[in-house]
Amino acid sequence: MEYPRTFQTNPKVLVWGESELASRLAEEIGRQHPVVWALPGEAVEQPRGITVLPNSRLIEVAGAAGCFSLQIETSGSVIRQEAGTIVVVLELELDVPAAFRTIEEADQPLTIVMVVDGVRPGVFREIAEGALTLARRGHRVFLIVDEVQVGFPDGEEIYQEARRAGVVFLKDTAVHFDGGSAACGTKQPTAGEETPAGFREFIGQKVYLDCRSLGDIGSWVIEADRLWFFSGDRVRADYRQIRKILGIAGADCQEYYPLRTRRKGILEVDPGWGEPLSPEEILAAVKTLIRSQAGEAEPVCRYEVRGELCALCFTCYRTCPHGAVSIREGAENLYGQAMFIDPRACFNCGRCYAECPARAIRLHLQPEESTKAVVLACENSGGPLLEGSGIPKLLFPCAGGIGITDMLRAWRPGIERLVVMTCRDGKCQHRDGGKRLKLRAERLNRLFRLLNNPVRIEVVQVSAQDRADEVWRRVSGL
Amino acid sequence: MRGSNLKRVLEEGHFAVTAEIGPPKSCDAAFVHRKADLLRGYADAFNITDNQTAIVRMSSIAAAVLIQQKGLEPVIQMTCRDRNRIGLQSDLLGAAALGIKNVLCLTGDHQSFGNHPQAKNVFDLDSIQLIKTIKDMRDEGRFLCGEEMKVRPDVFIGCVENPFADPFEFRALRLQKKVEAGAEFVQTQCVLDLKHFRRFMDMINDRGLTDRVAVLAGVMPIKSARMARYMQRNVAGMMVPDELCERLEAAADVEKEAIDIVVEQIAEVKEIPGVKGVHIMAVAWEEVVPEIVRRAGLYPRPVVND
Amino acid sequence: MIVGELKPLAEIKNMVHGYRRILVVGCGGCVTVCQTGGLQEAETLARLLYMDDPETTVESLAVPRQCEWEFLEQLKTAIPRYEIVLSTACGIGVQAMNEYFRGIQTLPALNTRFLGMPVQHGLFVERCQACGDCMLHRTGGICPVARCSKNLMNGPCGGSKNGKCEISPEIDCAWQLIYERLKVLDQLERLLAIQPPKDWSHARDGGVRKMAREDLMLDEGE
Repeated sequence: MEYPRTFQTNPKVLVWGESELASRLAEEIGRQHPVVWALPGEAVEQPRGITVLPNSRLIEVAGAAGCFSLQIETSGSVIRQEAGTIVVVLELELDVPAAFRTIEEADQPLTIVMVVDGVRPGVFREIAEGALTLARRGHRVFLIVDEVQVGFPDGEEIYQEARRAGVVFLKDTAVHFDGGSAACGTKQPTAGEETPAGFREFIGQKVYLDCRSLGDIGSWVIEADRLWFFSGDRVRADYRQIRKILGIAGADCQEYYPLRTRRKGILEVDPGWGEPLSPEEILAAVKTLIRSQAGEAEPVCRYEVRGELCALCFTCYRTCPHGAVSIREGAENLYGQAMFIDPRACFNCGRCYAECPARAIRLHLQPEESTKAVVLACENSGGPLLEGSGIPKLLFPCAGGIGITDMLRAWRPGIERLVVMTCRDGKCQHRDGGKRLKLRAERLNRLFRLLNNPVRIEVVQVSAQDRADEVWRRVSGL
Repeated sequence: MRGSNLKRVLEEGHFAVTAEIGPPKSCDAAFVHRKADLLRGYADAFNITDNQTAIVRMSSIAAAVLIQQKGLEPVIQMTCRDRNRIGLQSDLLGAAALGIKNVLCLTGDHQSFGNHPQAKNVFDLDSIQLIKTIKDMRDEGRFLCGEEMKVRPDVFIGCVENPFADPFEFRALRLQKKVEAGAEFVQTQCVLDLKHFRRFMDMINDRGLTDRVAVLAGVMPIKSARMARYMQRNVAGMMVPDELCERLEAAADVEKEAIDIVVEQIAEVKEIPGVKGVHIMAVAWEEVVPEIVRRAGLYPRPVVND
Repeated sequence: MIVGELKPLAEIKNMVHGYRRILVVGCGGCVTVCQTGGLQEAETLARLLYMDDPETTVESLAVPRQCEWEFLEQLKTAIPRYEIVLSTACGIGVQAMNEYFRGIQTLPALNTRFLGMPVQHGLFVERCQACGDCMLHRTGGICPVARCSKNLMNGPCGGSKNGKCEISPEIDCAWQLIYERLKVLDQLERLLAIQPPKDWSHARDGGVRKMAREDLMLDEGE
């Protein structure tokens, strides 16, 4: 089967999201590209020059960077949309500073209860900073939080500082007040009204707090001058669903945020981790990425399906972390079809190659069968670390793409120890490459033991920060 | 020839008592005889289990004949696990020829529970199909294949039902299927959770089943608190309430407490509309049956005539 | 698909003991899909046997389907170079090899387990027992022959609890599934009908089975 080697990139950009930032991005990108803006609700403003799809729901996303095909339900009917790039802006607009402005003028110390639920760390940071400012001005502040992550830069410091300034942080706390009760800030929501997303303010309330983790001493009745709710729960649920449909769920490698996902061509704007960016910075970054993608006319993919061997078992399709595998017609095998790795979506992680039970995936530039190498490693991590060590090695595009037969082929009589080098747990840029590599090594070791064979595969985990001589020592088993 | 004593006891409106005898894991006839001597007169009929929990024991029919020699009336259990339709029909003819009057049809425990988990199981028929097969042999004089027989096996047909298994809503319907297939009496899985059992009885009363089938509630003396806890955790299809375990745990004389509990349970199930008797399963503890029957006020057993 | 599983390695090692030239033949059909007998696994087995005794020659190959004479023909030139063949196909493939290559023995490297499907990547579960008399139309599309441990026909036994089979908490109770499915389909009344004993003569119990499409067969002599 002949694979296409050049690609037409669809210039159209689909922007998904309902915040003001989404609207602004759609409008700005629209100056250079055709843009479709889809959002779950009604558009408040209608940016000029772009197509708007209100009341939309994402059903399916197929294809790859440059040629996505989306099914969208919009205002009751299902339509198909083609797009080269997808920009997802999932965050609900929470105007945190506006809340704080309402009491800027207060001339006496106030008691303020803030209930924060389901907001991204970026918003939480703003709230925590606001609380700190208020506490420093002499106000009494209670901050009721859900399992809040301080997973943003200097989160821990802000939290500690706010505590020192007198802010009371409470977790797992039920909140009741005379004007109603709220599900915020507690793992066991109070029955009653559903908390709407966004910001709500109540003035002059008697608030009952029941902090379960503190037991008997965890109950307070507070005469609150202000009771504020910040909630992003609904958005968070939508967000999880949308990430699932986009095939970017589990993309938890934080270094790549806020603008890239594990699926090429899908840009996720500020999902909450990393350094918060200004709208201008985000806009500039999105534009750069769209440009760079358009320039990448012939992406390099080192793996290719040999259609004549493909058994259509879906192993590659199911294990590809990047949604890069689909079925193509026209293969010279029993089925007339074979799996196809789309170079526009492929990150060269080699998962498909290592797992393929039919050995139907070819690795271009396969490492030559060295007669000496006892170390198999990734050319990005293990390779550079071994540079200059003189240790003979076989390098693969990614360690998660080292298959069982690659390990077995490296063996020669006399060898009792083969080393595979991989990134540390949780550091794989391709979701679970290291984990799968470990499973393969464990399986082989199990088989060796059953045969009373002394040969063992040893997994050595490394990171770029490791000292080279230290790594050499571990690899040589000294 | 006399018909089934158990059937007549039920027909005359007495509160019936059946008990269980487990055959030995050997060909020790004296063992069976000893049990028979111990239990004679304390129940209207005695179930002889059929390789229960898939552990090889003396055959149910052979042990049944041994207790008949001692003047007890047996109920043979027939499971579908070890025999196909040829073996089952053949054994039923043999049993009837040996004077056996009662047969209890069960699917049988899976062989993975027993001492030959490598065995190939049969399950050619299921319990409902077995009931229907035996009923047709008796009432129509026909084998499953349709061929006729000269002398028909005159047996009283029973089945089991577990009110504590899932799906609960289906349990009454399943009993209904068994009744429609030909079951005349049913022995239930042992009742430890009375509340649940009452719900089950309500369901089968609502369906009018208690007019068509005699329900014998299963009861079981549990010898130790540990055993109760074990059953609570590990035995599928048993509901063991916490209170029962706690009562045994707190008891000074556990065996006495176990008997007290069973006697109370019998008194309670007796009051439930539709319950026509009890089936006492004193697994490997048969010697307590006389005391239970006496203390429950069910001794002596009625003598009925043809 | 037919699901197979690698035999214990010690057993395989025993089978090929003493042979110096071994060919491992994989199959590109079911056993590739169930990850136990495709080219990858054939090569793995070959290399493991070679590592066990580097004096032996162990090589691997695969054909698209080992149960077709025409595909076996592709092996004609290779086979004479070996003393023994290990097949990672199902029992059908092993027998096809033995029937086709009379002069060399083909040994099974897999245990053929069941007819099933992948319910998740790497997990295969039985779905059919080839009983020869399909009743899925009566049971809401869930097979009690393959999926009930006692292949019951008239509803769950007394060991069904919380949707699981009494023999293992990892096995779903087929009749609980059937019950739920029929409820959804509004066909619960089907459960009330007493199913008569099944005709097992179409199953294995009736002897070796054949299936003929006579319209496709020509008499050799004609």
